[in-house]
Amino acid sequence: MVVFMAMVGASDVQVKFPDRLQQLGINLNYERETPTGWTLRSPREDGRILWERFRRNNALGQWIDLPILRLCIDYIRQLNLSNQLFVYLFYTDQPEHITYRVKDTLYFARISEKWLPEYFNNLGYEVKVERVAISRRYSPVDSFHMLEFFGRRLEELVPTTEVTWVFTSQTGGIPTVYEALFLQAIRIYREKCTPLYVLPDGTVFPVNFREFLLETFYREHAKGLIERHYYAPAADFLEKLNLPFHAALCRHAAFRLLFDLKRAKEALESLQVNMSLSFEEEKLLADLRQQMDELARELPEDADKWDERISRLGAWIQELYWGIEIAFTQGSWLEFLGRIIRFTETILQLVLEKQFKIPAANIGQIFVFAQIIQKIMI
Amino acid sequence: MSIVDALRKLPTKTNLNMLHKIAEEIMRQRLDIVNDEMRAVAEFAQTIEPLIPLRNHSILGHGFRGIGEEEIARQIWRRVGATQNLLEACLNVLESLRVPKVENPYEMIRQVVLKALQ
Repeated sequence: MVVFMAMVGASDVQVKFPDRLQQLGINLNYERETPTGWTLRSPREDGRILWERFRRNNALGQWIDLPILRLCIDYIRQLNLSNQLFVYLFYTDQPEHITYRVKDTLYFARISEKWLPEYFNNLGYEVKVERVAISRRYSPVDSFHMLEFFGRRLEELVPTTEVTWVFTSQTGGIPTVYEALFLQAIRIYREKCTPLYVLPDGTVFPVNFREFLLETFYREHAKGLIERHYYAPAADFLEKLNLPFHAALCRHAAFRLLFDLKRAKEALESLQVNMSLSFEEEKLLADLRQQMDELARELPEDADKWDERISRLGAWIQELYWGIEIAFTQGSWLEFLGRIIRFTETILQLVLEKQFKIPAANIGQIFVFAQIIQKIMI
Repeated sequence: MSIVDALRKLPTKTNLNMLHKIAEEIMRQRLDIVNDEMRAVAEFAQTIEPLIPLRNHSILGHGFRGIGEEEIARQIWRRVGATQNLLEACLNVLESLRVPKVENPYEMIRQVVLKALQ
């Protein structure tokens, strides 16, 4: 599903030839001439008159233009993403005591709803328009109200799961409205969202603030996660930030914390040999690889490799301790409890094995251990 | 009583309580062969012992009891005080065992990643 969302602004509906309308007895108040046509002085009152006539007379469409919305939709059409576009047009309809009520675009939204599908149908492009009122509970000039409104409404209108691309318009309307629409659309649809801007000469271009905002968001999120040792989710954000080396380090750490040493090793091996790394990064990678080689080996049981066994147990205990520290930092108390008990078990095993050079890694071995040392002790 | 008999009498047999029992029996029967490492480890195991029922009643064991810092602190308070002191006790035992000090790899990773995110 490809979606375009825009606020219908006071300059969005224009009349190309006022004299033609006048000849038809449609007398409107014009505000100013633009390269694309004449804007109307009162979107509410003049818009109502124009809508009443256009509703009954399709031919009037040829004297009207919606330059901003038309250009945005045409830009999307030429991307060939789909042969159908869902357009959501937000408009204002404020209570009677509000001064700017004359600028309300409720009738412009109606004109757009009729004009846009007809115009694009002639180009073989299906445009489905839905008008959405900015509820009277929210003031369109209050940025907090607008953020709240779009924060709620966008997800209701277009669930993230159903959409492949969402375009928003950064042109026309009230800044508080289109900025809030832009910010909330990026927050909700993330990479799927592309804001568009229309230059006075009609050129449409995507606004790249999305990259900046998303990068900032991912960066801050990754920082927050890494500060508290949440390596696995941090790795996903680091990938999005195009930091594959750092993402691999985090994947390594996440698997290593779980003693999934095979995958922890693979995470390091997945790094490309030709990757350009600093001296510090190269050294860290070499150290981690060496540690993995040691940790991932089986515990030897031969007497002549006893020192190696004790050293391996020591390394595992050290690993367990780091995990305990992390569980403490995260406030993961169940994890903390489980790890501290395993730590205790392993230090007991280490101290006994070190002194008597007999394996005591499982219940069977512990019984045999007990039988042997009983004889030694007598 | 032999060490094996002492192990057989344990109501539940886990690595932890069996190894702990062996260490206790050695300390009881042959104090002359007990070194500082074993003493430190046995003392640490003693501190942890009240946490075992907690583990058993949690989803790590066979129950559904929730585990928070309060529950852990309540069990160990008498021996080490605050939960944070358990970390220090772990470090002390690592030092007694002469486990070689290695720079914490998680901390190194964290620093490298945070530097990249600046």
